[in-house]
Amino acid sequence: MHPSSTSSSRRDGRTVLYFALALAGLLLLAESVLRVPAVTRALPRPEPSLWHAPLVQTKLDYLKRFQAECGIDVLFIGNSSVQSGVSPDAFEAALGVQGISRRRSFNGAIEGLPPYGVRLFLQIYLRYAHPTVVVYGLTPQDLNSNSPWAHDVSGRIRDSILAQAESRSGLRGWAYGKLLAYSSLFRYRYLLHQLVIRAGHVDDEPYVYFNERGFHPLPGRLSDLPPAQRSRFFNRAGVLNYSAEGTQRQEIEKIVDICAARNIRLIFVNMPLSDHYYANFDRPRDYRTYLDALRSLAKERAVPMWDMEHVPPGDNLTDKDFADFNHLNQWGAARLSALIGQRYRELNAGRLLQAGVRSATQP
Amino acid sequence: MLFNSLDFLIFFPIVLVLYYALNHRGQNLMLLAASFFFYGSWDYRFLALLVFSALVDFFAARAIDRTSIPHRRKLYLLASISANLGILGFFKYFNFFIDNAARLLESAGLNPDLPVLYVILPVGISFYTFQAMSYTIDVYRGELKPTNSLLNYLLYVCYFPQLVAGPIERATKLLPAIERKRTVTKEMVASGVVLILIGFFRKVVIADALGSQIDPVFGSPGSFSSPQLMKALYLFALQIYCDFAGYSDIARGTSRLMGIDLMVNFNHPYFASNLSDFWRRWHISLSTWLRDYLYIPLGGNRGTAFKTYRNLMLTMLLGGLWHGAAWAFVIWGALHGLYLVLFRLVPRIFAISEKNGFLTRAFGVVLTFHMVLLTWVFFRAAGLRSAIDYLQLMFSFRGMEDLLSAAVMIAAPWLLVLLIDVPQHFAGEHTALVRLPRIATAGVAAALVFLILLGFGTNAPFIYFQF
Repeated sequence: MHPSSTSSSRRDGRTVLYFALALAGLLLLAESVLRVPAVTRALPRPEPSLWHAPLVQTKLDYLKRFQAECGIDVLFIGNSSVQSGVSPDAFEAALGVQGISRRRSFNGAIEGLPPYGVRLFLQIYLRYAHPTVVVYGLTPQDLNSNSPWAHDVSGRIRDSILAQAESRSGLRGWAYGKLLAYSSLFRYRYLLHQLVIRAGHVDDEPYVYFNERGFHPLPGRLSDLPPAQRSRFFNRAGVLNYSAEGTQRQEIEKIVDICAARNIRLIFVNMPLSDHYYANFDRPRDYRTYLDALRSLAKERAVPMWDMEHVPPGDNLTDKDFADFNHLNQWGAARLSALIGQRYRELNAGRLLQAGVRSATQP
Repeated sequence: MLFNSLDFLIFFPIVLVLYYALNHRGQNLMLLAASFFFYGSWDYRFLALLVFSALVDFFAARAIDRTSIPHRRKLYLLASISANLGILGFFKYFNFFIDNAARLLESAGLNPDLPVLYVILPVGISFYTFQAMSYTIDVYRGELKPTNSLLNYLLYVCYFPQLVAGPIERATKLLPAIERKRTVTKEMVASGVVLILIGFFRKVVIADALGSQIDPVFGSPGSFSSPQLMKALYLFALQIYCDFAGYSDIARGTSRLMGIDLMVNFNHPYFASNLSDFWRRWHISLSTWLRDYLYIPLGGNRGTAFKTYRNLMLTMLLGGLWHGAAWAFVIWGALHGLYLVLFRLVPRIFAISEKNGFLTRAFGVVLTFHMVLLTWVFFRAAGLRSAIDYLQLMFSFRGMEDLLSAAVMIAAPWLLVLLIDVPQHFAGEHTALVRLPRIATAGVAAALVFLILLGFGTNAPFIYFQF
């Protein structure tokens, strides 16, 4: 070997050594500083930065608090159509009026969640709460496995450190859990990153739009808007290339399994949508595909399914009850919650369990 | 598969180990298989489209080379271009044209029921169709002898470091690098690693972290003060640069580790002293593609002044449309075309060059940057109307008390990027870091890795993937 080649290799080796020492020094320094209580007290909470969306930690905190104060019997899960569509207060009021013993409920729905996220958050909630009933509100986009939206949000949740760690999901969840437990730098890293990039500036706490029961009351009525303006609410999320088979359905089946394993009664609710939603639906037959698939799934797994889209004329939800094409406003939510309460009362009385299964088979 | 994902951090070392263990033919076979896996991990169904597009050009180029009859050569070329533009038009522009045709017919009082296409846009389609087309055109022009190796040709089109977001490589450069036996020197490894680190720094530390300050503002500009709108715009200019240049750096770095040099795609574009200079520095592989295969065939600047302006406008309009099937991109391209025309019409103001003194050049850099900055509104806003609203709100100068905090939040990420870009610019090379004293190189690299570790894991997709 040529002497200069040996000397060059030695120099390269030294550069790598200096690099390793410098990096280890930086990591150790940051880890040590972040273990000083005065430093962490001066910093904002890092948890919101470890979820896929800013208000997830708040929702979890509310759930824990409500569980500690009152206990949760009925847990509502799903995406934004459930978050703004089911009011726990109205649901309980309906039960009270009808003379059923008071059940405490919480709206654990989070906007944008596809079934993968709903399943993960159900696993998280069930670590802190012990409901006897879980009500899962679904819309057509929840069963579409070709939805780019579902793909995108599922990816974000898969990369969310706390979603994985809190749900104890597989190896990744386990590894994240250990890292969070033993490394302050790992816990604070996104926060530190934001502080570096924003010159130390931290945003104000985000506005919390849901109440302490997890319900997001929406103002405004779709019917108050001129027809031309209503179209700005056109939301095609999840209805392109509709396919009711595949990952979305599999995730819903896992939700059924989780509830069955814990002896929790699961109920599917087909959430109501504005008539305009159907008018703008890319292919009307996709809605039929969705509904048939949901009914067949409910039948196969013996899960009661309440179709709140197809209700008796007097109970029908109109543009007055919607804030946009697929979200109920606060008045619509009160009506729907009362209807769910009524179904729940009937189910509890043991009269509608069979009817629920029947409705899954009969359009 | 994203470069900034855990998947890639597992995938690439495996590829690298296999690469170093194999002989030349084995390397090419393995790289092709790895490229298919890389692309297929996004959606395996579109692999067939990618291979079809490549095969059309492979056989068209061979047919062109085999005949000397001009009209046949032209026929084969047209077949190749039609196939590529057909694929691109079908997947990317079909709904755009249908939507506009429907609006036009509606405005004429008709109520058309035109079909809408229910397909997703294949990732990287604009990049690989342009790359494949350049091969056939170069063979037609006699600038390139077609390869007989289907394996090498497929690897040229599908080479994973640059497959989904460029650089759009020319066959005259990349194909010989694939065909010949490659050696990887220590310098290539060192500079490759530096490029990867800088790329990750731009993407993970800067571009991804800025989204939370930009997206809400462009989503609802009416809720923000003018300085906040300005802040979001300045930050978007930085985000799109770091996102795309970061991708190109990682692509070049990974490729260099395998002994293949990819072209420089971004050469500090915001240091450009005029608009023509900007386009010599921004997305260089696209701008040179458009120059060689569109602007010059249209006549370039060889005709009258009017024809030159026409050619510039046409090239930039199509360049805008290349980025996306929306009028906002067309307007973005038109503005750049207009700037380039102004550059020729009013050279005293717009044609400041390297020959001018420092202060004049500095003025040119600031002016050019702000001209480009305004065009980014059209690029980022949800549509044409939203872009105009954004500009109106920004220039309404309301809530100016936020100016100082906005300026600080603009300055912080820009300074971080300039810490990398300024030394690179003055050193005249992108891997200047390896020329520093070893202890300094090690220290800077450790600081970069530390910052990357802070931000790694959000897996935000690269903005240019959508094109």
